[in-house]
Amino acid sequence: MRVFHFLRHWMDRTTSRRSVGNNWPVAVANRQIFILPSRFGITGAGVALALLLVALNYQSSPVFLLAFFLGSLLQTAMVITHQHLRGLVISDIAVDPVFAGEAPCLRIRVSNLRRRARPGLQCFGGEHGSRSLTLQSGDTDSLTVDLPASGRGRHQLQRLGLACTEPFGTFRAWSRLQPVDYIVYPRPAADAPPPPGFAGHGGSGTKHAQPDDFAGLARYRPGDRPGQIAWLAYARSGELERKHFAGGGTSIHWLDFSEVPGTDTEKRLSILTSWCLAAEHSQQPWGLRLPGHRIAAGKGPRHLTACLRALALFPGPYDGNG
Amino acid sequence: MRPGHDKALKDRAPGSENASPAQAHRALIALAAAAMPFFFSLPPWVAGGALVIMGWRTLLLRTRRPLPGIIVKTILIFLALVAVVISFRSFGGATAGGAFLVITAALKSLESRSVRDFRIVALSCWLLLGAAFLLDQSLVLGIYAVFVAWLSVLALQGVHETLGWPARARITGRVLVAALPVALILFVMFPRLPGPLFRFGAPKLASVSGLSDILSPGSIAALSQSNAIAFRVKFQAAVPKPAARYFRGPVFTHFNGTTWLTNRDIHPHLAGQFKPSGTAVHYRVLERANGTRYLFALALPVRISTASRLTPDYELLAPHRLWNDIEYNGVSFPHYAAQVRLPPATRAANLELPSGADPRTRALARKWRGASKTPAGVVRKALAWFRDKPFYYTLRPGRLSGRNQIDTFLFRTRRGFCEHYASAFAVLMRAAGIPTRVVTGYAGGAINPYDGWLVLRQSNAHAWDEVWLAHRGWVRVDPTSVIPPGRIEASAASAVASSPVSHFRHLDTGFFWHIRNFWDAVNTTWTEYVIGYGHSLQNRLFDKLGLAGAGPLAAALLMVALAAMAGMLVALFGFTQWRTREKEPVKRIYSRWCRRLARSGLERRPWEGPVDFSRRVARAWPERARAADEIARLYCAARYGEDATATEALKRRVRQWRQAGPGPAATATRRRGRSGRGSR
Repeated sequence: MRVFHFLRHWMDRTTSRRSVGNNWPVAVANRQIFILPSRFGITGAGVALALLLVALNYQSSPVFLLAFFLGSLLQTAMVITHQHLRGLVISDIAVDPVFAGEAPCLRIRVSNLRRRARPGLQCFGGEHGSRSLTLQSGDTDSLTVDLPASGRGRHQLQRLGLACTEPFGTFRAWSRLQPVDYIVYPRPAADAPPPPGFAGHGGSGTKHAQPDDFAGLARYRPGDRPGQIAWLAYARSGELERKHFAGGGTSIHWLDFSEVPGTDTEKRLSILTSWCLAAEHSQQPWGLRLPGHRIAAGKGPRHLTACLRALALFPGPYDGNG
Repeated sequence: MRPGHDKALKDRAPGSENASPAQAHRALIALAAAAMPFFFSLPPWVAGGALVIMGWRTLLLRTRRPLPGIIVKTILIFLALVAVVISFRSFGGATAGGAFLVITAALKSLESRSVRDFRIVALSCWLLLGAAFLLDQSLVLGIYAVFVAWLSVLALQGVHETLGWPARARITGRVLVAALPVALILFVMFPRLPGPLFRFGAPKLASVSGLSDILSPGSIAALSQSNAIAFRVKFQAAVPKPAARYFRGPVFTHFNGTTWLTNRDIHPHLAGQFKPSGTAVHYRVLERANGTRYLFALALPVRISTASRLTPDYELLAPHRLWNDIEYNGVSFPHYAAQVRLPPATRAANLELPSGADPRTRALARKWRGASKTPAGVVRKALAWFRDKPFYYTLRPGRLSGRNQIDTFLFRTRRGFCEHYASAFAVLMRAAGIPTRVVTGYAGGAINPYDGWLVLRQSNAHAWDEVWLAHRGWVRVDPTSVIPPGRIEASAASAVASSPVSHFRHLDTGFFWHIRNFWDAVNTTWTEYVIGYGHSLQNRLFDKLGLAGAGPLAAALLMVALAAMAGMLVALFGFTQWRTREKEPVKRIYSRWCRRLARSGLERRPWEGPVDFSRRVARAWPERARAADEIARLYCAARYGEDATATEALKRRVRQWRQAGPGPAATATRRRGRSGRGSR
């Protein structure tokens, strides 16, 4: 068993040294493809060998022919399996960020630029394999594999690769891909106290207006959402005007780590996460203050992502796009 | 959580997922097809039982019902074992082993669920084909095996479900064709040994039939009804006349009143001696497996190319029973003087008669002996008697029973087949004091106009006599041949049509006669070059290829080298995306430039347009930035613009690029490119 363990480890190291680069789009090259017979392939070779022994014993020419034909077929299958991976174009590898406790999903975008179909493409990462995908000539599709759920922070998927056992399952060809980094956000606290300073929650320094209280029309400015445009007024006057709501876009709310109740950092990050989600939902500009790190006020999905990233990576180092 | 991905979360070994119904059906069809040949070579319950089990599995598949449990499977496998042992009284050998294999493969399908299970079912088709070939080596099975192999490969494919039937069938065909060259090279080059390697379990060929070591009334008549080919002969010069075409098999000396027995081969060191005269006949024989040791050379052989021995009775014996077809060359002399000096023991053995039996026959023989001056006269008298009395030649003579069977035949029924005449004639001669024995073998035969081979079928099996005459030795006498054509019954007519005993000849040259001859000629080729491809044929081929001196090791090395070469060629031509020659001159010139750059480390990506590519080239190779830019511009102008001179200009530019050489920049680019990639 130790020998097998050693062999596996050795093979892992050797194959990862020749992994496919991630300067996408990139085509899988010959030297990056490894191939070994599968258990079924060894069974097939055993059948061919048994036929050969029978042929030798009975001096039977047709059985010789059968044995050699089967052997040759297995060898041909090896070439075909190899060709199914060779020249496959990888145009993107991404893991959609998730909250802690959810299973992140890895997607590998692959294209088949050659004339023949590539059946049975699979991807393996972590301990799991993906369902297989058949790429017709000229097609582009995604191989997806669910990664195991894990805690908050930056994770790296070390063992990632593409594999194929088609056409006969006698050989397994595989190529290693370079390790992939992904972020898992803190899990939003279910029992979070309401964020301070938000409408209706008795916070400091804000008006008590509901965000959807209509407060009159204002001049349209480029960048306003179409939903805010008063189309009825436009139909009447021919001038673009924007519906103005009370409480919208006037004050900035700061979500501060130091304001979060409790002493457990993880718990406080969880609460901050759910505050961020609530703040984003309120459509008012908001900012995030962490010890030693500040994210300027803003709103929208990009802003939310930047804040969640910062929370995930707390206490840093934060990468540039945070 | 995405519930749709739950299934993928489970860790699975490749192939352990459930097979699709389509794949299961394909595997079952392949296995059923592989079981079919056993209907002809084994008792029908074997293939029938296998088909029933597979039908059961198909039904379960259709109705989505659970597979039978361990108890049912255990009972079934036990039943199969018992049935095989009862039916074959053994468990080894090709027949019992083959039967057990067929049943086991069917039972395997009954417990198959996953992709890998059904792939193993598809793989087992090859084992079944191997077993089928041990029982039957006909060309029909050979052709059928190709079909089964195709079905099996079709069933091996797993997830091609998105492809339609024709596409999948085409892919399968391509794989088979691609596998052919390597298989053929291995077949031709793999060192063949002169004899079997382990010699266990000699197969009992169900389809073989041949002359037996016991001759009783009806034994040849039974053989005569088979149209199967016994052997084929190709003569180097002219084919001998029908009257000279006697191929000797078992020789019978001992008679107990009903049955003739051969001499037991108690002197294996003795060899038959004779004095040949006249001209030698050179020929080649392809003999079908018949389970006996008899080699059918033309009487009498002086040289045979395969290991063999001529017994004192002039039987030609192979060292072991023929379970495979065999081919050999022979030289014979149709004229000879055999055993002019008859050893007293042999003389006594060939005069032996069961005491007290057949009194009328003995009386007739004594009468003839008294009336003739020489033994030859007695022979003539006997033949005349057969001709003149109302003797009939028939395949259905009715049963002779009780004592004095020869009396009954000669004086009452007078209806018989060749073994009756040969046997009665021998008894008559022995009673007259002339040493006589019965010889069986094949006589006559028909020439196939397509390949010139003389074909001898089981229907050409024949029995005749040899009498010993002073100064002449053993002389062949064929009492059947004197029966006039009018007394040959229709049932026997076809049997004698191509034998020397017939006085009339079927001049059948219809359509089916041609088809049959053509098919026989193809069969001969199959038997000679595929079935018969063994040690001797391989040696001859190696001689022709100039490998005569090479030892088996050199031959094996050559085989490996050739097979590897063929495999690589198949990989290159069959499955690599081969660069197709561009038809448009503009594209051709441009792709020439791209190939040039690819060699210096800058490969144009499939998704990269010419302008983008040139920009990248310019970045990597600043001193040629202008030239690269110019080429992209000219290419676009030539392909998409109206400018007719652009093509020429492009050609010039590309040539200038080549003349500038790869330069130091190429290597620098490559190094930069690689380190850049690695740092990411």
